[in-house]
Amino acid sequence: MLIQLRVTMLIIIVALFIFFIVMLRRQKLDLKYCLVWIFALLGITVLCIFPGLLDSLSVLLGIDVPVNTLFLVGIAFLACICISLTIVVSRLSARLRKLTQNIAILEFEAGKKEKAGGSNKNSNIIGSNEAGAEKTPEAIKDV
Amino acid sequence: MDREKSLLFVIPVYNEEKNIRRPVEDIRHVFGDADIIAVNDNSSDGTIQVLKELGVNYLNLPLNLGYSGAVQTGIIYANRNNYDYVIQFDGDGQHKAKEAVKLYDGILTSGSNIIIGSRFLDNTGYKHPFFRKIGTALFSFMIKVLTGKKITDPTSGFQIQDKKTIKKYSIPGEYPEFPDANLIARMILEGYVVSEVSCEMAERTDGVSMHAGIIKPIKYAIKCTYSLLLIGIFKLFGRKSKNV
Repeated sequence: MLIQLRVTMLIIIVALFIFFIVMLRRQKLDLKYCLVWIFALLGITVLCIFPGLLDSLSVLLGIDVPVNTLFLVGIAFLACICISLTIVVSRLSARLRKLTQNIAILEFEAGKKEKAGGSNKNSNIIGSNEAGAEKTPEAIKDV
Repeated sequence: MDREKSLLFVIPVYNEEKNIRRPVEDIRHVFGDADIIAVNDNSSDGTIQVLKELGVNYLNLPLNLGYSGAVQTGIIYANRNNYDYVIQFDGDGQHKAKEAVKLYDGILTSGSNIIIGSRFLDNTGYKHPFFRKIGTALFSFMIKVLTGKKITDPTSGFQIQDKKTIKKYSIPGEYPEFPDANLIARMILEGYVVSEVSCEMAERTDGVSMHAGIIKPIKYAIKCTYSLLLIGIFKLFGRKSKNV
């Protein structure tokens, strides 16, 4: 690898590193999602400083051209990120649905309670893992 | 009618200010003081005002969840309030209350867990658009292959469910985004008794159907087929399918 390329890459890595740190400090990015990228950056840094590693890895995997090893690892990494993100999105939409439904029902029951003059039976909130019906109205207020 | 058993009409509504009056009045006319819960799926028109005018109970979703999310909210409400039966009744005037009587009588006498109001069991004169006809036939065939049971109208939203089914559907994740053929197949495989009653339905008069346009129905058909295939795979490997 030419020294020019290595220096350019290191500059990009440092810039991205600073970017992630700033995002973290501004709380725009969760630490658990940020860590993956920071570890990836560290990996690239290691390859940048010791390019010989890529050659030995290629030999180990039986790949003729070292740059293909780089592509393989890079694509595998991105695929992993994509899969984990779709899992996160699925979970979020399920939660959002539950939350929306809960709000609609609680709002209706609160309205009914108001009309009836505060004499309504205490019923359980949907789902299995809620702490109890009494806690939820405050939780909504906090939002 | 058996007054001991409580019945709830769940009407999902999304931008139906022009249509919603008719089904509500229809139900009140036929069933008298039947309980109705409308689920307003964050409509952007005057649907809420009309619901208020009608004096009908309604749940107001703060976000648009789509048809299935709205229906499930009504079912969760039914479960919380211990209703014995739920009838899903579309807010666009497609379903008729006098046909709902058939569903109700059917479930009281037949011991089914779910009864679907079918447009195709007998010739009811319902004109079906060409592409939906193909879709219906395909889903019907897939259910037949998967479960061995013949369901003539798997895309019908006109259904009655008993308490056991209400309980099941109320669990988060147990009521999928497209609650049609895939859900029916799954319920049959899990041992629920699903049957059909021939029902007459009207065609839409006003407003936009959830199946309008070109891309939406295709997307819908692909997703539904895909979930049916998943159920088939789960069946092959002897696992219980979830979230499909």
